[in-house]
Amino acid sequence: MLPHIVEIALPLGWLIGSARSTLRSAPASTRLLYALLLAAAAFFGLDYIVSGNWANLNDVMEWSLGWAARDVTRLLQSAADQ
Amino acid sequence: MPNDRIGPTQAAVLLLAFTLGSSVMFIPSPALAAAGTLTWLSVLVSGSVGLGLLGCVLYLHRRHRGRSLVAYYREVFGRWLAAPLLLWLMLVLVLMIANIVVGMGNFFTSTMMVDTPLFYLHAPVLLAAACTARAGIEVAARLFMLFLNVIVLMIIVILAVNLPNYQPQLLLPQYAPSTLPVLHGAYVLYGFPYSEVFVFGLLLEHVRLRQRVAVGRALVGALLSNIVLFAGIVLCAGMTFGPLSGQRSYVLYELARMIELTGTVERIESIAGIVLIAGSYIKATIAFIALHRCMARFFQLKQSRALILPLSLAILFISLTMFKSGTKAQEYWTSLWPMITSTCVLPLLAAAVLSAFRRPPARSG
Repeated sequence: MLPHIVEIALPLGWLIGSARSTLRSAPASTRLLYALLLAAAAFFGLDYIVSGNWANLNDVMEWSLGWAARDVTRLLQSAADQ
Repeated sequence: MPNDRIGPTQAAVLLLAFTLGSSVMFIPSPALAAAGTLTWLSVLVSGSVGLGLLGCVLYLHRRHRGRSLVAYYREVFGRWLAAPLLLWLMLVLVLMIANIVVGMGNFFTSTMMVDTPLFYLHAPVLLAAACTARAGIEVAARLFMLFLNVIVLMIIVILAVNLPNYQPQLLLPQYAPSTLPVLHGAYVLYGFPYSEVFVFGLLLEHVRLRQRVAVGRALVGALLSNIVLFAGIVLCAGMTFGPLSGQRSYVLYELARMIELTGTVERIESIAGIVLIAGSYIKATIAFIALHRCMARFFQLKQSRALILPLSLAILFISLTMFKSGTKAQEYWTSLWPMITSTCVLPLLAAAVLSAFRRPPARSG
């Protein structure tokens, strides 16, 4: 777990540390999005540390489109098998 | 914004680099598994669909006089319907970049660098792609000219040096040919790379307005070159491995392993690794540029380039948590990914149809 924490803390810390100079003359909307992206990175990074798999975007895709993909693939495969 | 105008040749380089990219390593194998020795037909079918989609992208670009995709989506669909469509498009681009680096990581951990943690394979490629995207599309296009030459040259070398291994009789079908396996192969190839041409809807705003006609010819030429290269790879794989070619995980890598010019050139599979790293880097960069443009236009941001690094960090951790196993990833790319990209292709087609029935916008744009 320790290597994972270092892998996340280093880039995240660097981006947070450099945010002030990077965004010195940026408008509020850019600053807000920057903060949101860092929060997203921290969220997915936490999932990476604990291997919780509760932030898996593929599950969203699987839930929304998986049924169609499976049916199309099955149709093409089963007909080919015959 | 500096460095954000490209010419037709540079746009063609980007398209060929994007469609060859990492897909040249991953996709021939599942397509061969689905369609067998008739995969070259699948390439032609899905390539034709890709050409149609490219025509649609070019039509929208001309019809809306070089305006951004975000601007004409808002005009065609209205602000409220365009918003979820564009947010979904951004999510798909995030997943696309994550999938590109996952594919590269899976390849190396299953072939050459089995003990290396994925983080140390994903992070450098994503960082390089993010830095190139920050430098701008013109810098990227100039740089990729060099990389594209290297990739195409290496593919041609791998295919040419394997000449003594080819047995054309292996291409003959073992059973009566059927349409559905060809369609299955075409479905796989449609998802990755031909449907991903929609990304160029976001990039064509960077093409110099005076060269709009020439860019159409250049892009069609680039996609045709891709189709020829893909068809060549699957034909060569079929002539080398026969009906078993679909069981090889990475066909180009396996072809490189077969090379044996006694005493001089043997087992040059690391070349396939170079092709894959360069291809993944190029494809991730182009997707990054498209995602960045979409975000900047959608949220009407100034100084939006500052967002690329935090975005790449979020994508890095998404890529590390996406798949539990390589098998799951392979299934995702060949089954689910064509559906996911279709959700971005369909609005583009709808925008083209709706635009055709509307008066062209005023010349001010």
